[in-house]
Amino acid sequence: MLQVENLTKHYPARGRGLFTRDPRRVRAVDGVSFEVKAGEVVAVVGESGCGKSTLGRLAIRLLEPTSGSIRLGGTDITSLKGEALREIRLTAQIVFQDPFGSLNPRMTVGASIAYPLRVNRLFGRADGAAIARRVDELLERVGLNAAHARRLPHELSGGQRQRVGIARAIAVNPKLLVLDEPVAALDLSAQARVLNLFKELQREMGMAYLFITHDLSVAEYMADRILVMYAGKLVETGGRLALFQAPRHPYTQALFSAAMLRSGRASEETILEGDPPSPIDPLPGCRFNTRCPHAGEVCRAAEPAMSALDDGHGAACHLLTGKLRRSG
Amino acid sequence: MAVTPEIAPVERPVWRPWALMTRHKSIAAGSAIVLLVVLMALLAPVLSPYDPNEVHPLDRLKPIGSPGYLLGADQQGRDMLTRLMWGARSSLAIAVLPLSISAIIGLALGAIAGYLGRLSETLIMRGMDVVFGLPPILLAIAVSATLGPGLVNLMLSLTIVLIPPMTRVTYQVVVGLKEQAFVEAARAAGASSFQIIFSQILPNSLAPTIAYAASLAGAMVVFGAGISFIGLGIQPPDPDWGRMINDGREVLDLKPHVSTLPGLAIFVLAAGFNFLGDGVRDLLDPRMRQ
Ligand SMILES: Nc1ncnc2c1ncn2[C@@H]1O[C@H](COP(=O)(O)OP(=O)(O)OP(=O)(O)O)[C@@H](O)[C@H]1O
Ligand SMILES: [Mg+2]
Repeated sequence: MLQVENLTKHYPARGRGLFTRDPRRVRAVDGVSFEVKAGEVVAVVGESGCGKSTLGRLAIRLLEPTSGSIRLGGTDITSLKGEALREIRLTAQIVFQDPFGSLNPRMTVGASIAYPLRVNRLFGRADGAAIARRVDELLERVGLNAAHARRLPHELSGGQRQRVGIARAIAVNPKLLVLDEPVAALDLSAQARVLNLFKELQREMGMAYLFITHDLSVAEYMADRILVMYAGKLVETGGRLALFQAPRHPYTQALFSAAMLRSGRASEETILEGDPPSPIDPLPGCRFNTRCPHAGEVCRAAEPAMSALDDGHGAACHLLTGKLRRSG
Repeated sequence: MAVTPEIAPVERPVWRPWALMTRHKSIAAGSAIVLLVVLMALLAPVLSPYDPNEVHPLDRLKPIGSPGYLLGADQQGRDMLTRLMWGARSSLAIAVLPLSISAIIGLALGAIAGYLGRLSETLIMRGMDVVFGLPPILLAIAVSATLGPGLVNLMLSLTIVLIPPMTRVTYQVVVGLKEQAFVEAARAAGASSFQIIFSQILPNSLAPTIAYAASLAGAMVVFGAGISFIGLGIQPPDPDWGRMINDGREVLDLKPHVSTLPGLAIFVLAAGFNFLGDGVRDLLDPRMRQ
């Protein structure tokens, strides 16, 4: 469904002198490769600022990559423009984190949901009745009802608004949904209900999800496979069970230990000290070496490549290449 | 999963002019004044006692309250009340038309520069900076002097002067809107830039731009009168408030009413537009709303 090779996105650094541009680059996403199969739910987890949203937007070409390649449904979409780029919107859609900002405050709920149908001319130009029927159907599908179509976003709760965002995203029957922290802004009970809605929709429509979250319990509930990101890089990928039961990268181990502790599956929590490195021109070597309890000389000198472990499980750490011995 | 749609009864906004007036006193005061002037201008042919250019050499400089001349007469014996009523027409046209036209042009240019960015942004915004870096009053004088006198040319020159600020206000709003998630959502939905500008950007930049335009109407009355005062706008003998102040200049110390009455009219209309404009701005611009 989605194949991403060596994908990189650099932003110009924001710090800028009065007359000179800062020549440095923010490496928001740096050489990331992964695949999402049809109907598969792949979660992307990692700390704030590690590049999850950038990755999700690149995957469906809401952003232009600096380098690398993206294939969607077999076609190379890396450098599509204009009309050709707009065509992939019928295949890949996105649900945003912010249920307040992602709906036009002056458009009714019905108009927002009809918008992708109209701009893609999925119905005849004059076929208002057919569009209205489809909008009602979508509203019901996401747990709202036809009466909501005439409402303005500010009249709805956060959970209802997020459902409107979901209805808008599935309106064109996409094959892939990028979900960028779609429940992070909701309260716990709304989170649970919206997550269940995602499960149902996925089962019924057979969509693949690229599910971005910083909440590991959400990833565990939703994902078939998990990608762990750290400072713009993938550090570990694998099936949900493998990652939760036998994480191999020290970062994953630390990240997951807190969640495991809470559910009684770990005896102690590894506390991560310090902050992630600045994504602006990072030091050579492993990005994690400044916080890693096992870091040695090799970690400051060379960047570890992704080592294939069993069965689709992989991690990028010198411990796994034999170049470094575990300390303690 | 059991889904219980929760639909709370919501009061929808209703168009109730009376509630609007009582809640926003400045709109009430402003619209009362402006409405009065509009009526005066419209009914001038019916209500005014004389023809605006009718001279009565024997009644020159009659004071206020003279029989037949409720507000006195000027140096040529023309009835002040009549000329004030007719003069309201150009003042109103100057307050409303250049603002409306420049707002439409500014919305289009600002939306294009702000949303499309790149070359269009550089061309439009730097163009505004370069050509319109002059103080507006100098620019208006230069354009009026070039085009020649008259109401139409005066309005044209005011329109030109107003385009850069209108464009900048819209541009700033659009640059902010562009970052909003709902604009990215429209892009993700598959909309073209053109569709996004029309369906997402313009509807949301209309209110701030209109609010800005409304807040300038009072200043335009004064500005336009100023241009006519210095002789570059409305030409004699056509009645115009700015022109009338100039007419009374030579007799200001002896017969102050000839200049003072049109000055007062300008002040009152400008104040009316300012009240109305401030009210409209408070109403439309969410940043000003409580
Ligand atoms: N338009 C931009 N210009 C410059 N830097 C940017 C831009 N967008 C993102 N960045 C930087 O790129 C990095 C990755 O950002 P991104 O939003 O992808 O992170 P994230 O993992 O989604 O974080 P969060 O959990 O906070 O949403 C951050 O350091 C961010 O500051
Ligand atoms: Mg994010």
